[in-house]
Amino acid sequence: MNHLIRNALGLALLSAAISTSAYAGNSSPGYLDFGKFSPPSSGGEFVEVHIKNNLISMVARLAEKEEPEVAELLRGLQLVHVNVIGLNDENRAEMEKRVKKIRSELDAQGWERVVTAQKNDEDVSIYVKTRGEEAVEGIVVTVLGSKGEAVLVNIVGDIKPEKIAVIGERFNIDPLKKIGQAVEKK
Amino acid sequence: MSDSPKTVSETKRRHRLLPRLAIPVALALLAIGLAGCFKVSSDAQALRDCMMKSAAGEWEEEIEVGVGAFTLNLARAGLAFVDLDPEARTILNAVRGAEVGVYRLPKQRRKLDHAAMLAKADKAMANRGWDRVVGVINQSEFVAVYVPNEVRSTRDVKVCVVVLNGREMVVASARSNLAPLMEMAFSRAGWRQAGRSL
Repeated sequence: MNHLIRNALGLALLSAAISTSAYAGNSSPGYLDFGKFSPPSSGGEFVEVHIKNNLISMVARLAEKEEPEVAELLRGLQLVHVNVIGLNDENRAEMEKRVKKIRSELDAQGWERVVTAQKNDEDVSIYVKTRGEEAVEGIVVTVLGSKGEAVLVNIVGDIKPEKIAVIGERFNIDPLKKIGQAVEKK
Repeated sequence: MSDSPKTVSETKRRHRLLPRLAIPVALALLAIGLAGCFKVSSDAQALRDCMMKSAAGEWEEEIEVGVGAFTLNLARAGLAFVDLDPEARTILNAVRGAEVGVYRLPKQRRKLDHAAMLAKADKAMANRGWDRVVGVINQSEFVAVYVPNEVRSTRDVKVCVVVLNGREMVVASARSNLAPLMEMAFSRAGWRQAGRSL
């Protein structure tokens, strides 16, 4: 019980530190609506994170003094949306179909596919929406993973490619490092 | 028709008694209100109620505690003379209020439909102007975190959380000044530790 209370309060404070909202995301060219996902009825994994721009800019202001580089990257962001859905026999086919549909929509809307990786059971695609040669307006990561989960990430904003790698390196967050490297190579 | 002398004196006595009673009652209500002892706030209550309804069953309250500005100020004043860990003092100074409720569902044969519970909680909180920023469902665990959609200042950020673990549910809400907490987080050595991977 104490553990639960601690977790709840910890989450409350942590979320206060990383959340809030005012919206600019869905009118941006870098925004993609993945649609609504339901948690697997068999009780499989389901994670949804949706952080909008006024929280992001709030955290950027707070990070200014200690982490100016991270603050600069955060200032450019409008939305971070992450979905992780556990795959099982019941939803695997449907999720694969939806991810393929999302990828074909991205292709049709002029997004550039910067990473395609298929190894064993893992299928990863990373797309970027660019504005000229200087800025990335949106990043979409789609993963049909070997660990039995589908991952969809949409980052919207005015993103400088080299800054993505910076935050990936600084915080040792592997997916961001890979996205940063992929976008820089482009 | 005129009142009898007895009725007049009773009325006068009542008129004198009322202000005497009203002042201590008002002071008591103010103290209780400031101390945050009115259990959980209406937002946390709405979240709790819709979760309980979705998991139709007899929930038992184990504890409900609210700590408001008055209590926290008293604690700060009292702890000013204590040699407290600087981080603990920072947290104590940053928090403006916190409430926690713990509930248990003793008898439940049916498996809880977490997806439906999440959808209903989202709807109830959206009606009150809250957005969900995090939702996690995994086997018997369920976590949802809500923040108001009109937060503009880092000095007073509110958050509501519901955690469900099997048949135990915790609903918590907190109000806090984010700036010192973020500074503390950024300055922690572990934050930059090499080898930490997400």
